Amino acid sequence: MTELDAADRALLNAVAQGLPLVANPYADVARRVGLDEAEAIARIGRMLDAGVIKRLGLVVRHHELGYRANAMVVWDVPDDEIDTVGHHAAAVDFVTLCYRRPRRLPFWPFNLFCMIHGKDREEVREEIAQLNHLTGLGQYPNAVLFSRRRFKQCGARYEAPDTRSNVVPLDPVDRKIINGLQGGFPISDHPFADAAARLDLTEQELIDRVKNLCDRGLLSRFGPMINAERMGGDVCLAAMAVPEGDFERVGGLVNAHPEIAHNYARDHPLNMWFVLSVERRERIAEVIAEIEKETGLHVYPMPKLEEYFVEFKVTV
Amino acid sequence: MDLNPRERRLINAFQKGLPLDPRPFRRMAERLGCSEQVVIDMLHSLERRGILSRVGAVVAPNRVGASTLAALEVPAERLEEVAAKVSAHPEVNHNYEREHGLNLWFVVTAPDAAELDRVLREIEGETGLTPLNLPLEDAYHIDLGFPV
Repeated sequence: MTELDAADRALLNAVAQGLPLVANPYADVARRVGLDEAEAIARIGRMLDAGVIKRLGLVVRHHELGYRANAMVVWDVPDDEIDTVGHHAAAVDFVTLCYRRPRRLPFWPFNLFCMIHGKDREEVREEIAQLNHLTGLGQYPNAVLFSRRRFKQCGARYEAPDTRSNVVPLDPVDRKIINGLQGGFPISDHPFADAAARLDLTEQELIDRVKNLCDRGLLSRFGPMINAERMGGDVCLAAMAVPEGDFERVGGLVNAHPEIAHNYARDHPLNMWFVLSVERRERIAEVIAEIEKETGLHVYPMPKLEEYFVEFKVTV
Repeated sequence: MDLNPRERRLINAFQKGLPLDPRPFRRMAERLGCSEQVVIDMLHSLERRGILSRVGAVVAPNRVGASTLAALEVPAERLEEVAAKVSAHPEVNHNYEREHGLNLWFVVTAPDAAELDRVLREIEGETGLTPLNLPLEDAYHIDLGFPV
């Protein structure tokens, strides 16, 4: 197996980013990429057998595990010796990665790279000395580059950036349907037939596609957008300042109310923002009072004073 | 680092392999002698504490897509700004400050060589600094695992 098809890549991307921590993680991943669970597992198995996937496993953050010192050690090894020396170095147990990379003269004269992770710099320096001694690497020019700060560490992406792990590939027909139907749906005896005609599809095709988009989670639902205010209900945005360590607990208490339509963490001292949607206007104040009582925190209601523009549509 | 004995066993046992099974956490639980839910809860907790980056696939370099290690020589006063610009690219999966004249080292992974070049050119355009591109020529050893 050398050629990966689009489904393999989507799957690889999803499993490289991380499995969801649920009982049936592959079923979840499979659904995201439009496969069934058995097919997804079979494809992952083939990629493991082919060596495309080296392994499945827990990927830990070495720094958080107490490996505070991380050195990239580099040497300038003559080209005709590097393979032998590289394999020697790779066999030393504390060497976590060992690579050959090109020199870039005059900026960069080194061609052999080893990564060594240790509890502290003393331990790593000791190991580098051992490595130099054991393999004869000590005779070559070298440098030790300890890491000082980590700016980013995450799983690699193997797909084009516009198809991120949780983004399912859409074909042109899906796009046409999503773009065409967000603005409204015909009110007629045969709405799917009428909508399908506008989209150059058959009625059955459109029904099947919409069902499929719902099943794949791309449409959270297919139905009317209700104007709660006109029905005697109300919608209100509200915010809370939740202490860092208490976020999960408070989020759970807030979300337990059936009136909560959205709830997001935002980067601001008021860090939890949610929308209340109620059938009777008076319920807004009641629900807020309930949340304040349950959480012991103040809720800031942010009712809208005037509506300038509401049209939530995304073009795909 | 604050790991209980069961977390230690979990990390040591499953860094280098995970059963490919519809219920992987149940299989892990059987080996650890606990319930599936305990394993899932433990993984959630390790993730929340920043110890676990992910439970996922480790992909062999250069078998799919294209990747490279790149380095920049960044003036000290610009390091944070440049690092943020580099990290902002979704194709950048590692980005470290290292003690050397070339002080910012990052790994770029893209679907193909053309995309990889595009990312490096974009970083050059955004930062005004030219990345030194050091693609892998040979891997003698890749087996990152950390006994705890």
